[in-house]
Amino acid sequence: MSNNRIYRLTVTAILAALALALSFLEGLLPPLPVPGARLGLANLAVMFALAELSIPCAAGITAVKAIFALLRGPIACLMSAAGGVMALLAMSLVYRVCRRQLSFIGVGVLGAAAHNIGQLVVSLMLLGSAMWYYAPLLLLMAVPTGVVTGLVLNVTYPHLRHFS
Amino acid sequence: MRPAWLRRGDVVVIGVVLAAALFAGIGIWFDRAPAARVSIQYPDGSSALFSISENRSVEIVGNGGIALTVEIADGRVRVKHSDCPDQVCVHSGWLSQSGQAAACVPAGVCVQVVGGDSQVDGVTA
Repeated sequence: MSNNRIYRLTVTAILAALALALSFLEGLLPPLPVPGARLGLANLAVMFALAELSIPCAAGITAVKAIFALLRGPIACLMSAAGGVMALLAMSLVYRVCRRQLSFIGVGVLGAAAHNIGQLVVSLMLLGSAMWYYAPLLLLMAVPTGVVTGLVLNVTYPHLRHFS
Repeated sequence: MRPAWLRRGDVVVIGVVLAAALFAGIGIWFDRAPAARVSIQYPDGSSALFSISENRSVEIVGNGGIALTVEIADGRVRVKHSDCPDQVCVHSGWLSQSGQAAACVPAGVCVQVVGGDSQVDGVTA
């Protein structure tokens, strides 16, 4: 079907817009108790794209997020890209290798952990070894934030699917 | 991947992440020492050490003109103010244990509590 490419492009664009809106909404919520930790609701859009579209579509959403982070400065863009690429790599890998053994909950936790590791690596490169202090806290926070993201996608998946 | 409520792989992922967090946490736990000094790292890579037992306020201008105010009081330190929109360092609150850090990645500034000789004051390393 020749409409397939247009369909994918359109849904990817809508999901990218959704990811940006979710990032913005998340910023309005009170900060989590661990400094630097975020809920990562925008990962919903990436996970949905992986499940319904393709890895390149998910990568497109990650790229849009990183480009829009430029509005908050080059460092924010670098941090967004590092977290986004790591999450994308980890989630794409399990999607390819063992998608049947995982639900969105496990994928969410994996994506959150990979995202935090990517950001930790960049901050270690920029600011040095003091940033190791954040490692256990950020890894720990990946579990509740990833579970929440996975649960939200579990609930919203049928609706997202219907509208796409 | 389809909506489901916790599969075996999910438990494995959560277990591995928790184990990694625990492992990193244990490393930091064994590395701690009595808090003695505050290390402030500047955007140019240089750093200065201040005694944590002497109350003072340090003004820093980081990358992109982001101004930060670091406050050392009563054996604790915090980033009292930052122009950065993220406010991650300010939310880190008061730090009093060695190893604890408050960082502003956009400004390129990092404040960390370190152990060691408490006599040094304002030395640039």
